[in-house]
Amino acid sequence: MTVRRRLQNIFAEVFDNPSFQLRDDLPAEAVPGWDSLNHFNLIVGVEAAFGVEFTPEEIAGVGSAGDIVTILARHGISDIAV
Amino acid sequence: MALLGSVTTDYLGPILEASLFEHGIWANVRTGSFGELEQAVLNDRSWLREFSPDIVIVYDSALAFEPLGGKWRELAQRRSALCQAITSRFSSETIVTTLETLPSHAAPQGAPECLPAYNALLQESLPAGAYVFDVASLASELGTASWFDLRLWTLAGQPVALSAVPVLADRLGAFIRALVDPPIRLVVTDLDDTLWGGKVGEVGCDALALGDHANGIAFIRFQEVLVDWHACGAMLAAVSKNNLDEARAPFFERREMRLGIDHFIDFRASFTGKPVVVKEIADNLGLDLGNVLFLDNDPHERAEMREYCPEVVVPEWPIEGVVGLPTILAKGGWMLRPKTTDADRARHEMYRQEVKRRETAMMYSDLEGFLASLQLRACFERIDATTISRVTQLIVKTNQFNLTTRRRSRSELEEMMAIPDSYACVVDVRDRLGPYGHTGVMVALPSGDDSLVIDLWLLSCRVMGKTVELAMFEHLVQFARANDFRTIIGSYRRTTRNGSVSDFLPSLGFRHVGDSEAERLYEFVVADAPSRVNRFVLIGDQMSVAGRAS
Repeated sequence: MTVRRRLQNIFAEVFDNPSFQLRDDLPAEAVPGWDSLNHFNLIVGVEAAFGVEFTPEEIAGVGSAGDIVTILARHGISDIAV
Repeated sequence: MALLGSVTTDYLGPILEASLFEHGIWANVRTGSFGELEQAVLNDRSWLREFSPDIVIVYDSALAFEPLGGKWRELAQRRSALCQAITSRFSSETIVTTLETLPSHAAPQGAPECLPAYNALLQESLPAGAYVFDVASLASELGTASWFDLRLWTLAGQPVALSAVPVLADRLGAFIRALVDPPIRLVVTDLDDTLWGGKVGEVGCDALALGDHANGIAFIRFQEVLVDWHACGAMLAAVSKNNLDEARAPFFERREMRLGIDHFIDFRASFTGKPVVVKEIADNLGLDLGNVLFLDNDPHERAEMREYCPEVVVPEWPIEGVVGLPTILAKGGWMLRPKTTDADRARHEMYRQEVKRRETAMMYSDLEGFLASLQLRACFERIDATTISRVTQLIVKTNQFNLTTRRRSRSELEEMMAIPDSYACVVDVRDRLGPYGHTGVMVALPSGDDSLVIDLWLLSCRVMGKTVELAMFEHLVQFARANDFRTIIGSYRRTTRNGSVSDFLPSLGFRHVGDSEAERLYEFVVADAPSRVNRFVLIGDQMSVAGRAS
């Protein structure tokens, strides 16, 4: 499964929306339910799924789905690398 | 329920709801936002007021107050005042948590002695209707290293590691259940394979697993739990399918026993169905069944109790056996409420006298209703190659309902089965809760022209008290009648174990006709048989009782 596909599943679960469509440029403000608690749930979910740990700066810096893809790539996780 | 806290409670809330459901409580748990306590309670327009909770949980963590230093006294007073406000505004019960001991790296400026001081003062100063849930000891039990998640705390105000939250929710759920449910006042325990290893009626007192070898330790430990509960004011009763003498013997003959016979307010050894006995004991003590906890290793007994006395609390037996029982009982939290008071101990003495005073005669209406509802079925099969091993086993093991206690060997049995017109039957018993298996054996041999002599009549203690013996009698009579036997000769050979059936044959209408060395002989005239002695067991017959070939 591609990174984006796995992320899509995590977003769908955290925001309780099975038909969630992931777009890299989708800002947090545009996602219903993306509050501070779900922000953290999202990070915890991504960390558990990919086996990485985000730094506090990375956590604070996530403002869109694309940011997560970028951070994951920095941790060595991208579709090309796989 | 409302879950407020000096920390984030959003993670605990949903899991607590699930845990409560598992504990049998359908709760709607709403969480307050981080640190929202007095504001939510005291503001007349807060969500809490509208929500009107039955129980308010105030969840604290030591991390939220670090460094606590000299503030601990003031904090305890604030919590006490908060509980007071909750009780008076919402007339709900309040649960507050203790503060955990922090690992030193988490509290470099901490004053560790303040935490126990706070916890003790909190316990003392709470108003009525407020209870302390001891998170501190749970955190120690799991180890503070795995309890706390400092990163989660820094980022989300959540002190407890997500992996520990389900454990927390489970314990808190058990605690709430103990608050909501009626308190357990009476613990009814089985004896064989529950208080000791093995069946005393089969292996005898000396061979029971009890004491300091591997398996015996677990039983001792479990007995110690019960002794402890007894000291905390719970009453104990024993209900066992056994002869009274045998059931009592280990209490006098095995010095390893931690429980004495005096720990029990009521001690029943009989073959009556346990739901009937437990109802009777609870009635005698004036208790509701909801105050009763029932412990039995036999899944069938547990199923029967759940079916007929759904109010009784019946914990599932641990897979690992008795060794896991203390843990299950501690986690269940059934003994959280009874606090040791002199009144509890005095109540025990009062109840004990009450038992002696009251009539404890069997309530027949109840027993009959119970038996009828079991929908017992007995299938009679001629003993054959597929069942002979089980039959031989029953012959060797059965001591209590065993009229002749002749330990016939397999070859003796085969010889008897080969005799023309012999009756050699094994009974397969079931009721609507499930099968008991092959549990009764009757062998009767022709003698002279028209007599049938009962050589073996035995019934596993699993099905004693369910009137299967009457069905067996009825079936034998049918056979005798169909095969033109005029009389049935029965005998009772007394052993130390089979006293409970000494009057069984006369109760069926057998006439005492004499005694030989070791046995009392009885005769029954087939023509005198009442049309129906068996009222509760449906007879399924796979064994022909047709007339003998001439």
